[in-house]
Amino acid sequence: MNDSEPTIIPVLKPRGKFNRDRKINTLLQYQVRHLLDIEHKQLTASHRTGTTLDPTPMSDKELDKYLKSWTEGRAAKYIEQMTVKLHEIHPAREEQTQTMAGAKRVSRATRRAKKKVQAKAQHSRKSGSKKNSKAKSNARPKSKSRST
Amino acid sequence: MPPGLDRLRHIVVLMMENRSFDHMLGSLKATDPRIDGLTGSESNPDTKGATVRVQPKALYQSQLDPDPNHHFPEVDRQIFGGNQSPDRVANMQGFVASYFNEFRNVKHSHLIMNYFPAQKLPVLTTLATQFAVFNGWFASIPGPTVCNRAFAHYGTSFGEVGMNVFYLGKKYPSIYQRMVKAGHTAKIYYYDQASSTLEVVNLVTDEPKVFGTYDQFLADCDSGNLPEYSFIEPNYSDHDAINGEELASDQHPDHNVQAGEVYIAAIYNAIRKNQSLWESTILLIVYDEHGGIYDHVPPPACTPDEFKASSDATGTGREFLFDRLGVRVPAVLVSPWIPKGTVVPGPAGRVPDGRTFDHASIPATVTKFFLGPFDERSPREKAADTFLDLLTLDKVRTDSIIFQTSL
Repeated sequence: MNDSEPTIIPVLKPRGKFNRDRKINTLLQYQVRHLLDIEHKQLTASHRTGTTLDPTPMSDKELDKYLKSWTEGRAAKYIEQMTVKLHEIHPAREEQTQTMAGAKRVSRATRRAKKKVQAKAQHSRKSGSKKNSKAKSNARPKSKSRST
Repeated sequence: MPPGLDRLRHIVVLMMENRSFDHMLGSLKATDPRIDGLTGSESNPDTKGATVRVQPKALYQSQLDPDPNHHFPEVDRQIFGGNQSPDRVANMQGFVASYFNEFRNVKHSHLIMNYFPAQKLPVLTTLATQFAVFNGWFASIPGPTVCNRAFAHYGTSFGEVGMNVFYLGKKYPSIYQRMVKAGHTAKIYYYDQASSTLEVVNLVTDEPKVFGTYDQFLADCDSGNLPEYSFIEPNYSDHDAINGEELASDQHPDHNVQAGEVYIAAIYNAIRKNQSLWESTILLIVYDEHGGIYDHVPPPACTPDEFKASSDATGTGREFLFDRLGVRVPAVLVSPWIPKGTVVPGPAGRVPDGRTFDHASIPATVTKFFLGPFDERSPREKAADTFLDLLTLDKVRTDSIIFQTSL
């Protein structure tokens, strides 16, 4: 290899393979499943997307059936909605552009707000598990279910 | 301290999805016998007893559909050939039989033995041969994505062998939390909001401060503002975006492998084109697990984690003590301080001076370099080998490779 001249390696881009209607694979099913769990157990009604079913009362079979109908396009839209929501509700949003070192210098008010949200989330998780431990265990992936 | 380490400021990890070492890099043995790839004689029996040899016939897409099973019980079958006896030995003879169960078609089950000729993967094979390739890098668990990726983030999966991501309140901090606490910088770059991160728990607790997008990664490379540690995720779905159609780049079957090649090239190019960043950065390209696809090297035993998965959780009727690694995956380390053509021998015990790596090696390396001694770590991570000793050159390399993507 000549040190002064870079070696150019051509890489072909795939063409004509885009398919937003492809059924979601099990990796995406689990990503959606976890986000559904967060949406319906941890977010207040005003923060929910309004586009999904609550998985809490569903059996594993029902949830699998529900998710198997999802396409990659639909999953992507939902994941985007949820990612945006999580950005919106996070109290340390103003820290986004800071480095992690910068993030150490969080204001007292932000720390208080963060603690409040964490406490709320913890309370919500605790009460959720007390109210419906069966539903919670149903929300966990079965050992024999397909995974990715 | 070697000059490469002295200059090192950034560690970047790109974790792709679901391909085995032999499937992606096995062909390289033909040109470099030091690489523990395929001779062409490796085989598995099919369900009718016929011998199925490895073949260089892998396609970018539409071949491994349905998705090969890589849940714990099936990986156990793939590794041990279905042998359940107490004194069983890993023989890597169950891949074809396992894939048969997905489609109940004998001919289709043979496709699991296919591998890519090197010329079909110009990006990964070029980086592997120009920099360092690991003969002995394994998935951390013989199981699926989430528990394996957890090892890259936490150095353990906290006893999980499946897809459960709810690690909240667990005893060991993630590598990002460790870095933050010590005043360092770290970030997970996911592709975009429509693909987002698989680190859902971190997304809930630490969003948005430890997260960025692929576009931000490119901008950070350009401006020289890359964090000290970066973990990059590919695009997990075909979806619409402002700039048009985005093709999944994760290489998860049945997503297009070529799209992943383009993605790896873009990550490499982003670092390479900023000379100062290039000289102060290492890039590790690694796959989370094998995705049910054939590899010929039996996973070795490893330091047991302090956790135990119940026989119900494993689905095999046996407990798992996290004392054996998962199937071997491609791992390539890129830096101008690494001699061209470095082959890291492995795994330990298989070859002289062999070394064994798994995803716990990632937080172990980052912690060792940036934080030094750190006790709040799993036994597996504490025992994991690290890889910065591969930066052995006294002078930075001046040769240069650029990937040029074209339509």
